[in-house]
Amino acid sequence: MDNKRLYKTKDGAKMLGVCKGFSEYSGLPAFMFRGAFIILGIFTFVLGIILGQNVSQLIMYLIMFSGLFVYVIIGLLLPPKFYKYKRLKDFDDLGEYLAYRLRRFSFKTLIFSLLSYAWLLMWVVIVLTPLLWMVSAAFTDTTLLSAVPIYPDFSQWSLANYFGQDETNLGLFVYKSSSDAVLPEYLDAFFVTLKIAVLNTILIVIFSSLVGFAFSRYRFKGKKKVLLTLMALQMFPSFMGMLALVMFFRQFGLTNNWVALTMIYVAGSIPYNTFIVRGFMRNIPKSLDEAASIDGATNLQIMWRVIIPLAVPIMGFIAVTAFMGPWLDYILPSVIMPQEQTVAVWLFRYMDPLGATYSPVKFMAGALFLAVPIMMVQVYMQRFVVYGLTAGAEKG
Amino acid sequence: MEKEVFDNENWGMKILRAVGRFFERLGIRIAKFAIMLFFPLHIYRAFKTNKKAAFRGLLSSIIPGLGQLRNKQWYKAIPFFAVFLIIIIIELTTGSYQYALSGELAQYPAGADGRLFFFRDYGGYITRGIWGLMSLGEVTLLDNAAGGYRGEQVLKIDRILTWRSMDNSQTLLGLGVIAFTITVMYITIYIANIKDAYRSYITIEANEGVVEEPKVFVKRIWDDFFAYIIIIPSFILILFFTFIPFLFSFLVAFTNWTSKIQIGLRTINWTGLDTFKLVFQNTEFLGFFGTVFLWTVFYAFMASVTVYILGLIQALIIESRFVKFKRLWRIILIIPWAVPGLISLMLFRQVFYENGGLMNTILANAGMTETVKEFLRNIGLLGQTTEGVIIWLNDPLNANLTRAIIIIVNLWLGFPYFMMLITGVLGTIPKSLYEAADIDGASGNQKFRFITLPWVLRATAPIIITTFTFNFNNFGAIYFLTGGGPGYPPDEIPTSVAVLGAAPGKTDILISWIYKLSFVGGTKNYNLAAVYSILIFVLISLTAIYTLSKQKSFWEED
Repeated sequence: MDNKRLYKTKDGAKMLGVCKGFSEYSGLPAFMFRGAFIILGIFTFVLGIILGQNVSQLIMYLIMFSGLFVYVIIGLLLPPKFYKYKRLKDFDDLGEYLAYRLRRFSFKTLIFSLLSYAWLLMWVVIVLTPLLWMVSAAFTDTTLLSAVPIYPDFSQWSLANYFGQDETNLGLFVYKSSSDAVLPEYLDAFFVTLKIAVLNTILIVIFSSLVGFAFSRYRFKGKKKVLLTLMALQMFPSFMGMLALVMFFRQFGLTNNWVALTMIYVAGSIPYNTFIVRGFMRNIPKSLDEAASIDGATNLQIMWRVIIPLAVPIMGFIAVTAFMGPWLDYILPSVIMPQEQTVAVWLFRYMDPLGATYSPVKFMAGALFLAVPIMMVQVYMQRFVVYGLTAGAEKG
Repeated sequence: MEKEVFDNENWGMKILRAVGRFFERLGIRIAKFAIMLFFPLHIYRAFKTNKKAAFRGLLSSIIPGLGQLRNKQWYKAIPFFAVFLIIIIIELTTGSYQYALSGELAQYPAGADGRLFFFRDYGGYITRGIWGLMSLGEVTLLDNAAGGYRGEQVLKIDRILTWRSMDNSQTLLGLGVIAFTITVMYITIYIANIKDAYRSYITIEANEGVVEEPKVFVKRIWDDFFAYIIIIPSFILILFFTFIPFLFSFLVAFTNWTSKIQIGLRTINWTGLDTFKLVFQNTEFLGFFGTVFLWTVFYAFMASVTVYILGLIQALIIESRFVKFKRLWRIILIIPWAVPGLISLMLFRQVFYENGGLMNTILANAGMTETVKEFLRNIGLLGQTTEGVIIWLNDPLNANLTRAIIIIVNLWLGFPYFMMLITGVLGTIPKSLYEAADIDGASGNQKFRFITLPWVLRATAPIIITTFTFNFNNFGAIYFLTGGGPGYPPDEIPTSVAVLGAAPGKTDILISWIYKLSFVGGTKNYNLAAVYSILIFVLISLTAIYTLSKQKSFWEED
């Protein structure tokens, strides 16, 4: 019997397991099939929008999501790798098979399944509606919130909020004035934040790994006291120190200095990260250190060559959180960097109903541009993060 | 997970005992420190045990490093002396002692009122800083009416005679805190220096006069103190960017600093516990504090519990055998967690905006505005008197509605986190438990009640507590959604609070109220904000001490 058949599989599946199944059948890597489906999805989506001007709404949506439909239909039609139930060909006649399936069928299961799906669908609607409204606003050419359709209406699709040139509604990526700006303000803010985020990530990873290593590997005088102090610092309302920081920064001319702002972030996150890294490193057996030490490794070598490579997962978690932090922080940069604005500060101007720049629709356009990359990283790193959470939680 | 999490001993007693133990230890520590500073017994004892060693210590106490040099440990003498020299150089170069010496003191003697602040006028960073910390400034422009200071008019800025410029209390307090910290650090090094000279001599004596080679010394330090060496950079960072600012804010609570005090015209003063008295003895302030505090606790509790329960439900449903495409459901429901919190909160501010917000648009499209209004009115959330659209966030009469929305939005934001967490925990339950239950003939319900639920609760109990403390200080959830509003109508604010402009909004939690007190509005009541911060700190650290006292693993040495 030819055991090479096309199936969908659950191991290593990303969604329905179609691409993985194709890959196992053909021997090609799964990402190629995934990429192909993603490209198909985007292609039909764009095609739908382009054709959408001429056909009815329903057909437009059908075209737009046809890539997805193709995937789902293939997913439903493909036989699974392993069958949950015995199949028709395992039985002598149809009657026996039907009796078998009927015995398996339970009314209770059906009801519970339907209820579960109804509940989950309800939550999908609750979760997605505000976000789709945001997407809808970002691509609607208006300044009024009330003119925004609840769900994206692609027949009125417009990029005016990003590239619009007209007098009343200047796009986010358009120069305000052609005088001396290197980049449009929004992109400028974006790159300021990027600088901060990168430096923040590097420093936090270095400092946290050092401190976490010290606290997980060594006994030293005053260890408990230091740990308690770190704990207490974590407890103190963080912007209580802000008043002082603003004052010191003015005193020493550090206002609008992005490196100094980063230092505040780094210092602020060391206590929390210390506990996470310490919790993780404590689970790495000490026998490794001892073996390395017998082989003549110095403290530094044990740290860099033995422990830190093993702690890469937790470092990944810390790096991701450190990279995300500055994008979403508003209060601190708003008082410390009033001139060189970060993205959050810049966006917030559109949210102030009393300000001259109040424009909620523009806010949503900018927020979407910011949120999409972050969301993708977050969803991608999801497992990692859960891992970090539980590792930190279990070991306090 | 430790068993202790679920033992039934009285919680209150445990907290009290933990606090008692903490203060007991603190007291002993302070007493020991005081004895060390003021009681020369240990010096006497040192001389009694080893006269020569004590002499080395004495040398080091006169000039740091001298004792070490006498011990022939130049490699120790140099760093100790260098630190000492740096401190002296900082003090001399930032001070202006040369003017004092060149006769300025005689030229401008103390004024008619006899005032002369030597360290204010000539001291360097450290002495002047400590003077400033103690006095918070003495000389203001108002002194000019009474003849100025030392016979000269006080000026705003003066580049020739620095002492003629007015005092800026904020700067004095800030620089004072830095100077104080540096001084404390130096005193620690200084004491270590004396002890080292004393102890090294005893070691050398024991080794029959053999002094450690510099190379051996460096290697020993690198090996033995490796832990200290790698944490020092982080701690310097924390010291300057976290600790000193906190210390500053802590001290502000004991002053009368509000933005009504104009720099240069008046100085800030130490007022001891006056602000605390205002907060705790003035019934009007106490009333506001009570309201805000109750709402904060209620919010923190509800926000944590609702999010936990919904997360649990979602995880159980998705993981149950009734649902297929688990991964797909999970990825969709995780989205609120993936969207940055700041953005979702500001988005929801738009969603609940009364004119053109998503919520009112949906209600209007469905023609249900009046029905929903009626319903909300019946359950006591709606109190608005205006006709038409529902004012979700901005009507003082709808304060309860706004509060409910805060909790609901928090639920939207927060449940995926717990869904992920609990899904992870569900995966760790050993299958054998269920198999054993199957053999005993347990029903699905029983399996859930006696296996799944206890396991999940045990694994996540500490996280519920951290979530509570997090929500207690969840500034963003309030500030970006409602800004603390709706505010109290002016006639509901008592005069003593109105005068200071210190009234919170109806949905303000403590932390957002503190922010308002110190950064928003006409009058900035820094001292009040500092007092409330200390309060939060005490409350939160009590919770933390309690949690930690249960977590054995935290204290395990390994």
